[in-house]
Amino acid sequence: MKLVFPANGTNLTAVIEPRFGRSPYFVCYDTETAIVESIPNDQNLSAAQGAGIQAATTVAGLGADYAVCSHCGPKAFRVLQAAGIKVICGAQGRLEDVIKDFEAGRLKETAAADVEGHWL
Amino acid sequence: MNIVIASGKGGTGKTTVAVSLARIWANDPESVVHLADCDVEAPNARLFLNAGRAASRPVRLPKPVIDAAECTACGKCAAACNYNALTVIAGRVLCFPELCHSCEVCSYVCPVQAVTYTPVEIGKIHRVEKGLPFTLSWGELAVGQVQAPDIIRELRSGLDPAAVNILDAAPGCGCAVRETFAAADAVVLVTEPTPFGLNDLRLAAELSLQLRLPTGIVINRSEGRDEIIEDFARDRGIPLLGKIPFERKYAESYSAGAILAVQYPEIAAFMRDLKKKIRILVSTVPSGGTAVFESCRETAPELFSALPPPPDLIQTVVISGKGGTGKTTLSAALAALRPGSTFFDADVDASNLPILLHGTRIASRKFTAGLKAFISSDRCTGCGECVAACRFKAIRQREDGGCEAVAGSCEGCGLCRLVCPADAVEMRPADTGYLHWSESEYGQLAHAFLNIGEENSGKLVTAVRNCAAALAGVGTGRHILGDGAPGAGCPVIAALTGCQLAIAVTEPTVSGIHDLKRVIKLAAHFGIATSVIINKADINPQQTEAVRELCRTEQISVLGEVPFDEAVGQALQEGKHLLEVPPCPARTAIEKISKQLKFEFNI
Repeated sequence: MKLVFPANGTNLTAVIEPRFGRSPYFVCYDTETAIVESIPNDQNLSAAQGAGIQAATTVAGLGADYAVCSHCGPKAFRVLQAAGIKVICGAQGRLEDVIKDFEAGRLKETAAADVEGHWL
Repeated sequence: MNIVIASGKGGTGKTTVAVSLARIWANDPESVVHLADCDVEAPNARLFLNAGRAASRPVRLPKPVIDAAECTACGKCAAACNYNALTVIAGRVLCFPELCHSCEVCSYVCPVQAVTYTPVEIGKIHRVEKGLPFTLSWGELAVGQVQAPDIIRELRSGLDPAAVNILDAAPGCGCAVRETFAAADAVVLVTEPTPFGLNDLRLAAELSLQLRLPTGIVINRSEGRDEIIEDFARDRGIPLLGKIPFERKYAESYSAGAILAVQYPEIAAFMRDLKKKIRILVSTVPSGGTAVFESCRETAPELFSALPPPPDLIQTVVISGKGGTGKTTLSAALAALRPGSTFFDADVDASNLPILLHGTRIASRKFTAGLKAFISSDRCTGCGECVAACRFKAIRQREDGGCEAVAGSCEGCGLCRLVCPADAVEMRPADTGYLHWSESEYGQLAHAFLNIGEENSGKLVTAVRNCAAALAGVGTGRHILGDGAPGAGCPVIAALTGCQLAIAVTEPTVSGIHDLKRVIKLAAHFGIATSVIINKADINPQQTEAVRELCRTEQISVLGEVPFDEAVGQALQEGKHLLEVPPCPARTAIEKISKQLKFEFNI
């Protein structure tokens, strides 16, 4: 099972970034192999708009089964859904702690975007 | 005749002037008067008017539809779209029409003609014909849409050229304001006689003079000593059309949603005089000339890359749902009470904190974002393909036949580059503004200048915040205090990121409470603690109680209340913050708030 997190760093001591599309990195963790990969999100950090969409496309490219994040807007959610990726919102703190919570079954899949797009 | 009422930023009294002027002009039996609210993201002129039923019509623009039977999911459209409105996922194209600028690049690049267009509603035009002394219209951009200039263009097209049309522009100097100015026969800039007011006024005046529009200035909240604006007006050859005095009763009436010209005969007389002067203004030719802003210059840019990594930071940002609540005044006073901290000004549209903190510039560097078309005159053959293709009318053909991009109109879609047979178009990163590092006696300061006519998407704000973090490594403290951007959009989110505490400054007015709710919700979503300061708390006791009630319901603390104090206006006129003036009720209140901030949040 591959989990992908928006994060402020490249390894499991990094913390979940509250903004999905503008996250500095995406960190991918494979629960079976314990392999950690990361990918910078530079391009979307400087995107004028639509960062969530492109970030979700990046997450799909990493082969994620789950996107584990703090918040997810409607556009990113739609992309993740189209890619068949399950979304968990409300996660925060260090990735290693969040992974423990996930493996203990304490995180629940989110059925819809939890924030309005663009906050207007 | 189209008269645009504008100001460099919100909270100067622009809508108050527009509504009162329309009301008084309508008494003239010779004139048919129309008020058009062009602030399509927050059209609130109608809140001051007891308007009857509005007739509404949709504004539609072409948006792509992908024919799934033809589409091969090659991804060329998604790669070409500079607005991120398309993406390819699981073998099909997903389209986000709300991000689309209708540039039609996607259909141009599609190798199998799978892209067609269908009209989609992006907003509405509302019009009230009856029940008011004048007719009223306003544009409304649907939530989440980006094409404000298209709504304004549509609103403008409904104006009767024979009527007197008073256009209430959006605050700032962005592309929506540029679009409103495009219809103007005259521009009236509303400002306050303070260094802030001057700073904001210069930006708006620059845009107006660049477009060679007859321009005049109205000083609002005048206390008789208006040299700061008068000197500027004289230097730039802009006529001063009049002054509205600073009176507590006007602020009270505004908070209750009244039209000042109806309530106060002296305001009615002022508007009659303004009307006469505008009639003269429209026939004048502006002296023009382009001003050079000292903020638009690189100095020692290499210093930015030599900054040390930031320490573990404690970050606080002062925000407000709308402009003009006193956010910067309070931020500066709190900053002065926290020497050794690092400060930032996230209000990049009109950066005023450095003025009050008396910052000295250390280094500046250019900031680029997005793309703009550049046409090489060596290669351009003057065929005009790009001119015909551009939906934004952003390319014109010069008399010598060569093509050139029109400053401020290009939205960076890149269709011109695709259609050009001579390969003369290059898409380059666009200069958006400047990032500044200043030093004040209270600490290091990060701020920025957004170029006139540029849209603020929050990226420059992020750069400012990151710069402040790095500057904290130069200073001694771990604390960062930022003056946030007004509103509840992207720039504010960018300012809030990484902060532990948001201090929301509000006023006891109907719109103040409405906007406070939005920023409280915003901060809560990002898990950032919020505390509230009620400014001018004694101006409307009922509304102040409503703010307190809201804070109780939301379980948010009120850090304190600042009374309405004329000493604040005087301090600002002199370019001083509240700790630099003799003790006064507002200063006492802010000192108490500062202690409470230390006590409650250890900040």
